[in-house]
Amino acid sequence: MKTGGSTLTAAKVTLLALSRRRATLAILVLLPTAFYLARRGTPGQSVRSLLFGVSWAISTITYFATVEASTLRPRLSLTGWKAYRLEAGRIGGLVISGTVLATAFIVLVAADQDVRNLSGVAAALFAAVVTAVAFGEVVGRIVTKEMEGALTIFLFAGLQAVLNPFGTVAKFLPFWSSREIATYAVDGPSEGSLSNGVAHAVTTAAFCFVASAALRLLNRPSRNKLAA
Amino acid sequence: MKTETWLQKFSFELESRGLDPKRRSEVVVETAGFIDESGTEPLEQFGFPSDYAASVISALGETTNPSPPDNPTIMSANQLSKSYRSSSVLSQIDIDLREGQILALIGPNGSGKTTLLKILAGMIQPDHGTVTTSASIGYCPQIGGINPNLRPTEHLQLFGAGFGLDKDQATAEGKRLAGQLDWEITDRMTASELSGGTAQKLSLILAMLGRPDLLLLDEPYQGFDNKSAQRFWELLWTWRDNGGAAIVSSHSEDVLIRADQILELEPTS
Repeated sequence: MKTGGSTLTAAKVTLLALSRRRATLAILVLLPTAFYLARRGTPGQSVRSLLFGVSWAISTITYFATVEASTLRPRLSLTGWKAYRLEAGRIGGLVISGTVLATAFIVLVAADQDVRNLSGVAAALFAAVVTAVAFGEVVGRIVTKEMEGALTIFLFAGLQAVLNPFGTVAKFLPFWSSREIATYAVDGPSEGSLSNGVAHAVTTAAFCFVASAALRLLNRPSRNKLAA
Repeated sequence: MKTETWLQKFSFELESRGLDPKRRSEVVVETAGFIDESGTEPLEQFGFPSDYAASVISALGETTNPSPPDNPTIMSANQLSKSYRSSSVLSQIDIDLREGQILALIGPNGSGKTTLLKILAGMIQPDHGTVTTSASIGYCPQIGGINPNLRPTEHLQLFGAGFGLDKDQATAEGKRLAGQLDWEITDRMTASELSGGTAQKLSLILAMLGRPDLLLLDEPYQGFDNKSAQRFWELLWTWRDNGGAAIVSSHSEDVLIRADQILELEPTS
């Protein structure tokens, strides 16, 4: 077995630890479901609410996973673990968890709603998962105190909910992309743009992951001088 | 304290002071004979095992520091200082630790023991000074450092993976170390469900896994019962005898007689 750990091992550990948080998993499912059911009578709004719930729940879980990992990371680095493998494994594990959840919601929407473009809804859900993981990750790097971090995510999610989605400010928030793709999928190309939504998702995820990696490098443990 | 327990501790104390096994056995048997004849409690008759062991060693003229002073330096620190905001935590700390030595860090709360260990581990930067080492390091924090949702063997496998140990190797090594700390690892509970002392044993084992050259242990046996604390020291002495080195912070007074060097820290502001 190679030294420095493997990304797969880190991903497995992330999934294992998350699977033991039963109450967290229940809320992870409940939050988007509640948002969806609250707007069930209107197909477009119900899907957009569902996406908002998925984004909020997954970014919060990612945030706590990132903060929790920060207590273990320095010790694992001393054993020889490569930091980038730990990070990639954790992010991969969270994206897998989110994708499983998203798949369940695609089935729910397919069975419960008559949407014009189900694959578009699937794309919106996947965009929601990836951007939420990226956003939760970078918040976890910047705001290390849990209460403040949870409130920071609440702040961004709340702003995304109340701001006019066609306004400029809303487009600078992390969860705008999935809403745009969902609008395209449910209401048609005249209302939403797939390309704009995808571009926003890719930009958001790239920005957050690069910022997170940069913060990791800035705060990495110092190297002691080597003895001659 | 029961006579058997007292004698057991007495024997450990003699061992820690470097008394060879044959003479140790003779002294313990002789002392047991005295206790038996007098019919009084050993604590009443001889006092604490550590005190009596020190008296015996002194009377026998034995050395109390078994580590060779000319061993190669494994870590040195030069003029380390650290402040948080405007409050000084450490000021001009020097360390010269050699292979086969145990250094005890003592001092009141807030004297900078944890900060110093983190600097030595390379986890935080000092404001001034340098740390020089080429040693591999195992670090056991005072709190945390384990994942509350993982089971003990999952921790062993995760930490072992860093060293390149496969699952079986990591588990076997961890269980061997746990046995020496009087703990039989089972996977019925996650780390959050372990008692405080047992979680601390897990954290300590994770620091020792892969056999690093140097252990940095921050209050490693807080929460241990007496027997486990004794076992911890036995394990550390064996570690030392095999060429390993350790820096141990502690509030326990016993560390003064169990370590080879003492560094006392005092609050600097």
